[in-house]
Amino acid sequence: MSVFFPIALFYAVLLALALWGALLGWTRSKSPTARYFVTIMALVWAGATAADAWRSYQLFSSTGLAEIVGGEIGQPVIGGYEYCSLCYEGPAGSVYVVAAGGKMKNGEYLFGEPAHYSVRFESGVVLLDGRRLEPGCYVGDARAGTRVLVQEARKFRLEVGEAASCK
Amino acid sequence: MKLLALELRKHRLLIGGMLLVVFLWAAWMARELLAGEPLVTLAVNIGFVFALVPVGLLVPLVLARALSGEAAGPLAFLLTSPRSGLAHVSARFVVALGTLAVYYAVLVGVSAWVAASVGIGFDAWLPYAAWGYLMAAWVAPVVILGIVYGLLVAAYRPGRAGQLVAVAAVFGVFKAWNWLGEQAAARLSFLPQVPVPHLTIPREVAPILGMAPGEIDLQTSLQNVFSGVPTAPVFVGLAVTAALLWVAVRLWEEVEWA
Repeated sequence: MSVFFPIALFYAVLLALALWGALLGWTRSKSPTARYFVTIMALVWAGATAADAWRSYQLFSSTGLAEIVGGEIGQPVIGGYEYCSLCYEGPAGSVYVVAAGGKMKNGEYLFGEPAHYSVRFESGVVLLDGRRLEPGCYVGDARAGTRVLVQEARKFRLEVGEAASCK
Repeated sequence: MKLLALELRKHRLLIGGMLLVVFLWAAWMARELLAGEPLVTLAVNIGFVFALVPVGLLVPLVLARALSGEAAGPLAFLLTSPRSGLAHVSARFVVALGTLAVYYAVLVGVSAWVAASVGIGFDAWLPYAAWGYLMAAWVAPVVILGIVYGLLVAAYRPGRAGQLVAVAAVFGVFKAWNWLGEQAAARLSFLPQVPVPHLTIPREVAPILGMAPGEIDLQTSLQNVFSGVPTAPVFVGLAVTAALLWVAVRLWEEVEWA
């Protein structure tokens, strides 16, 4: 419950500002255009703020805060790392990284070609080709078709590429 | 014409300063490109474009400030010869938009030149399209929003209500603009689309842009994802500009003529 308080306070302040703006806008000017324009636009802002607050309340109560912060792997990354945005190339070779600072749920990574990899997580359920892994860090060479399934994991990090390591 | 000249005179320091900065930057980029490493120039160019683009917000901000203090300001004598609100507002709008048009043209042009000389291949129309899209979908509405902001503050003086009221209205405008954009994107799919440009990124440039090394053609890699860039934001931007222009004209006639 206490998680909701700062978020509710944030939206309440925005809503109060919008409604105050609408009130002042209607009462404090003699220009009809200014009165109508400001009042309508401030009410639009108030309505949008209320809608945003309602949407985030529903989102938080249906999924919980930790998962929103932790995130999911949107879609399985298949095969090589040609189109990814988290790629590094250093002296040890190139590496592709999937990582979540908080909690990760229902992620899947399918190797399209043989590659060197490392998997690391602090707690949770991670399956490598259907085999459940104990929390920790593992290095290995995957063949094409190897599947990493994250049911739920905390501090998950998957590295793929020559430079993947547990260091 | 006289109003245009007066607008230019009023804001000559800002306009001159902005154009000086962007032309100095262009000259520096040219020197780096001709004398130094093209790849390093590209990296520096990307950084500087991100740093310089927000400077384009200065013009609407300065306009808003100038307008909010206009009725009693040092140039109040301008108001002794009444002209239509449309003349006043469009003089401001034209000067501001012209300044920003030159500013963004230099920004886009130099970036295109730097990109071309590192070996990034793109369609010849791409820089022009990017510039036009940016101007119509973002710059023009923001400029007229700055004008409306200043006039709103003037409409609520004397008193402290002006700033709060103007901020609330501007937030409302952004929300409505956003909503219009979503509606247009969902419903106006029949509008013409800008084709996905050919953009070939050579092997050695990709790491600078945070991509995996390898030659990439944007069109071939994106053609399965979407068929073209929608022009709905341009039409929404023009509609928002027209609506706010109408509001600004009425505000001027009610506030500054009184």
